[in-house]
Amino acid sequence: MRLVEKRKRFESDPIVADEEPQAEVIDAFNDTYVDNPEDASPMFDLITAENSANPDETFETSEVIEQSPAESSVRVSSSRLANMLRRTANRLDSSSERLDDVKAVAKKKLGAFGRAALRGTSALDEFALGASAAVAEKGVAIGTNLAAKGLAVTDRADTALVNKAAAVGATVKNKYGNALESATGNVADLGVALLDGKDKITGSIENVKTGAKNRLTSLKEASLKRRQARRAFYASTKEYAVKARDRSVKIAVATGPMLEKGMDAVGTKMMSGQEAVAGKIERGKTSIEATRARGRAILELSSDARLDQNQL
Amino acid sequence: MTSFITLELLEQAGIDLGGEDVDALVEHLNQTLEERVGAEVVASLDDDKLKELSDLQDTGTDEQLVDWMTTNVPQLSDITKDEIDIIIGELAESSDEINEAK
Repeated sequence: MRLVEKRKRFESDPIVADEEPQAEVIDAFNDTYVDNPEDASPMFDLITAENSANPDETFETSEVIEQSPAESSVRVSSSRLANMLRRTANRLDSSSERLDDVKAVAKKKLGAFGRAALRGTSALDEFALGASAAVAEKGVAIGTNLAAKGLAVTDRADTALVNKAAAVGATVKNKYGNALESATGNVADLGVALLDGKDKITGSIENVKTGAKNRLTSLKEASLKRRQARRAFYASTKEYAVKARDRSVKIAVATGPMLEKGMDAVGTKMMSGQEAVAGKIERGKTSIEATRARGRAILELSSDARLDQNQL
Repeated sequence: MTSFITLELLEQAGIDLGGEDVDALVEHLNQTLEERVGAEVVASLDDDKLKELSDLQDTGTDEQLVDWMTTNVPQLSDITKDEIDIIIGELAESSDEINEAK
């Protein structure tokens, strides 16, 4: 079955429909399963632990999913890493080993990840080749032509974006549609981010060649749309995983009492069967004893009769 | 610091830089690029994979990190290429603003 179909079936499942399942699940569990839930099962412990976790110290996947793709940025990824690092540091349970500034470490990690990713690809070579070929074509007319091509790329990216959104399901499309459409706003934010470091910039841009600005802008717009589509896809994948986890917990909790009842029923039947067999054995013993007694009586009668006959 | 965006690359793209300390601009561009690519990589990973990557970054070599990336990060080449396009596009668009800040 294709992922899309699975997803639609999954989302139409009434068990998955509500948004805050775990608290209700625990209540239902408490009401229907046992009087003392602490003694119930490891599953209860698991759910309780998940619900009682300190949100300041743990990474909540749902928190990231709640972020729209346009908002998912260096800050979100950095926070996610920081939460993960903080959790690890807390586990060490030693103040000397705790990280003083997990956010700073997370940001350094982001940079290290980025360097490794850039080293692992040939994107720079591809860009350099494309750029040198394009710059060789100078002039306003050529620049305009390239800009038109860039817009065509943007249109294709639009189509790909819509297709991707459709592929990850109507729900996701609706949820993230606005964010995808606000890519323009995101561009402005990123521009600000780049200029945040302008105090470090003492060099200047002497010239942006004719046509190059339009072409680079078009390439950037197309890349931004692809980035947004990727983020929407990643977010939807994580959302699916979280729902699947919640659903599995629900099913486990829902089937727990049923399993318990089933085991009780089997146990009762086993006990009944055991008692029945024991009763039969007892009855059999009694019957055997009675038969033996009757046999002995017959033998005695027979013996007496033979004795009488001999005496006669 | 490894420079992925260089003066030569920018020149090829049609952007001519000048000034006494143009290297600071290039360094800033590369730092921003690395963080953005790193953010996209993190966004693409689930929690288990992210933990694996973070641990490898603490304990493994640079080469192991690169190998892990190419194996485990979907669309890695597209991610890096797009982020380069975006940052150079932003630079071209912001050229006037950057020059005014001098």
